[in-house]
Amino acid sequence: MNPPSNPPPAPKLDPHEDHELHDVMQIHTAILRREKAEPQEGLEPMPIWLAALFGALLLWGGYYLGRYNGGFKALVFDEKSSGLPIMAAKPPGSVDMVVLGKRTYTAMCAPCHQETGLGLPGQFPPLAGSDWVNTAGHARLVRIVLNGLTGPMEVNGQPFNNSMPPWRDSITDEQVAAVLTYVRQSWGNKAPGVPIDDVKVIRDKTKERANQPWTADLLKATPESE
Amino acid sequence: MLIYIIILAGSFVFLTGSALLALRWALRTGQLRDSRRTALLVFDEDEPVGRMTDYFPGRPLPPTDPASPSISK
Amino acid sequence: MNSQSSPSLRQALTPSDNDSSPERKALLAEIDASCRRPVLFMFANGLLWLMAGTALALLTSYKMHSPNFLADWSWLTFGRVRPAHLNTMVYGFASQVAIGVAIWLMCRLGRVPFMQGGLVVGATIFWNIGVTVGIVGILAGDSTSIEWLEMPGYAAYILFIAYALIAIWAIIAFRFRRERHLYVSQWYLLAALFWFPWLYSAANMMLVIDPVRGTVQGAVNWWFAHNVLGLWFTPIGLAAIYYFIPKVIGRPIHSYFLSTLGFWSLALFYNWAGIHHLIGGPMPAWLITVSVVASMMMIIPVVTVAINHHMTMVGHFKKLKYSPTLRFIVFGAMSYTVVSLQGSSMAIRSLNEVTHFTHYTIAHAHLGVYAFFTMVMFGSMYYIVPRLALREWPSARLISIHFWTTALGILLYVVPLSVGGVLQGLAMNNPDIPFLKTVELTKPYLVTRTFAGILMTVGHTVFAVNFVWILARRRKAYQPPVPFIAAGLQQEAGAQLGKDI
Ligand code: HEC
Repeated sequence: MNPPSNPPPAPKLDPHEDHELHDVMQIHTAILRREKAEPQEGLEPMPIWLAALFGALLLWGGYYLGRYNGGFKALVFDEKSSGLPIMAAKPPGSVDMVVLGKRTYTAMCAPCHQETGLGLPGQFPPLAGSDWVNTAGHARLVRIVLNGLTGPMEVNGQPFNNSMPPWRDSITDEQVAAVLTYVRQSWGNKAPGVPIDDVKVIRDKTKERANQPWTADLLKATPESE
Repeated sequence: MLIYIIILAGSFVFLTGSALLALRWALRTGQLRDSRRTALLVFDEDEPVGRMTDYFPGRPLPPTDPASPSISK
Repeated sequence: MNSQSSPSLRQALTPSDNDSSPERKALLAEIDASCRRPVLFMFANGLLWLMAGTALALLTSYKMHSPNFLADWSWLTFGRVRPAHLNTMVYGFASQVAIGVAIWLMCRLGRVPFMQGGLVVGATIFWNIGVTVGIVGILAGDSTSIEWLEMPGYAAYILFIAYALIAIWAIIAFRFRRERHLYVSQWYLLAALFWFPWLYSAANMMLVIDPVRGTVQGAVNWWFAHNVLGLWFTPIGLAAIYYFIPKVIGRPIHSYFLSTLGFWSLALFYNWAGIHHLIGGPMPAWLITVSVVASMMMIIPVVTVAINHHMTMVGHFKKLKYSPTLRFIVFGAMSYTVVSLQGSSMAIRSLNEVTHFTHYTIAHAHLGVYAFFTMVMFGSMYYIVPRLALREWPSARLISIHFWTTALGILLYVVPLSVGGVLQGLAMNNPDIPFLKTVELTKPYLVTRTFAGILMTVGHTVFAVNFVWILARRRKAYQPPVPFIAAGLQQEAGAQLGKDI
């Protein structure tokens, strides 16, 4: 395959004219002879598997649109609802008290009493093993959480003199019950849980205290179970 | 509210309409036929099929390989 | 040895040495000459914004893991620097370079010189004033805080008018084209030139100038932000790929039928997508479902385009070694496939629940705008600029450095950040992990990103140097070096050979 000694002048290539196509086809034929699998540029049809893929996609699209359209209603936000009875209020599912308690503790108590429940010596008293927490009755604990606690006190013989903020306005009865149950049953604590109804009763009873924090002495004066 | 509906409906008609018109124009003027010729539009006689048109400046050119499927580089 | 150039460029620069028709050659030269001022002007301004945007990007990235850095000057607080970065890149760099590339392609494919180049230079100045006003507005605290549309309303007007003044001439060039038959790139370009003003004006009207109320804002916002990528950057990027791959390797596109299918399916499906960014939000379920379906349907144009590009390249991959343009373009084309399929998967509700609101989305966006679009624009500029400046790129080494730093940089950016994003999403979905922990967990990935950013900054700087150099170099009479002529002849002989068999 030496270059021809006297190359003929290259034919004028004009994309508007047919002979150019012939020229290109000649080139292609030449290529094809040398290499079997050279495709014909520009003309390849769609591979069959591609058509199949597209068909499958369209099918899926139709199904998905039909299944999750929420009845094409403007007020249906849940794609799984059929959209027919708009917003039929679902009864609230039962809340897992353990999860709620842990979550509330992490968000509201852990910054001071620490994730470990050990507190910080001299500043925040421990909840783990605390003689305030491991009691038969829970009335004082509910009061502490609702109204806070301030002034000198002793926990397991260690003195503390700091203050804990009231939570009355930012915590529900359910959360109080959950977080105290969690506190009373974690880190080796083994006290009974706190029912929601008891929290409700105590919240009512201490209404007039508003957000006035307790002192240790005042609490000691109230019975453990009321 | 009404004005938004009019705008939305209007632009829907306008957009769909222009797409359909474009498609009709393309079909009429044979834009979608003769795909071989169309595929060759990027070439002309100065830069024909089979010639590579971009190189690193000053670096060695690729070896010419007559058996290469692209005729020459 | 002084610069050696490609045969086609040599032909553009030297009197004809073969028998091709003089008028046609004159036409190519005329087209390039007519594009010279406006297109080079856009590229130059685009590169200035690229450098500014890169600086802002580094600052933003650094602040992500070291928030106290420069935090007491309100102009450089995170909340302003980040949108300033985004808007410089989108409107200053990417859109401007895109318009330049679009104009050149329109003229080349329509075989028609560009008209009113001077007027377009004026309009481009106006555009850049608009971008400047917008960025200063954002930094001064005047941001609209609507993603992708942070520029204050007064800048939006300037941009819109400037855009109209520029685009109209691209469309006029199309109208008066001499080659009546359309190549697929022209379909994409024409569509993009119409889609962008529609997107931009509709979104500005409904969000900035006379805002709609409530959740509709979210819907419009995401429709816009998503479609700017899909209906403005994507078509222009694809137009460039469809032109440059065949052009550089010298082989027609694998299947013209597939390219037509790809274009029309993109036009049909893309615009429906976008609202899937609001999965889990207070949006009517059907709106999101439609968007999810449209996103999945995008697999059709993407796979079509991917097959077409790949099959065209098959057997020619070794040419990547020799052509800078091809390197960038093929990198971009591959990224397009990856980013689009990734995007479709991110619209699936169950995956979206993890990746949404995490750095995964940021990595995805950069895979699209950078690894795909920006790389394609770099490749196009490597092809176009020498033909307009009538000079070769002064340094091949700088081109190599540019390619490797940006290619590795964006990979180093995207891959770790995606991993970090998924971990972050899983942590955020776990109620037992406090929010602060989910933030701290991402820190190593954010630091990695800063390093990636430094790499890319090197690449951009090197490119800017090469660009200034090629423009500043004194033009001297072009002397094809002797070994080069030999190579050229050898090639002609090779071509001849092919025909004679
Ligand atoms: C702002 C920090 C802070 C937060 C938050 C806090 N506490 Fe306290 N807590 C204290 C301090 C300080 C004391 C001791 C008060 C004193 O010295 O009078 C205390 C005392 C207690 C006591 C009695 C002493 C003991 O260690 O047994 C209990 C029980 C208690 N807190 C439970 C809780 C619960 C449950 C929560 C979450 C709802 C909570 N605390 C949130 C600071 C806090």
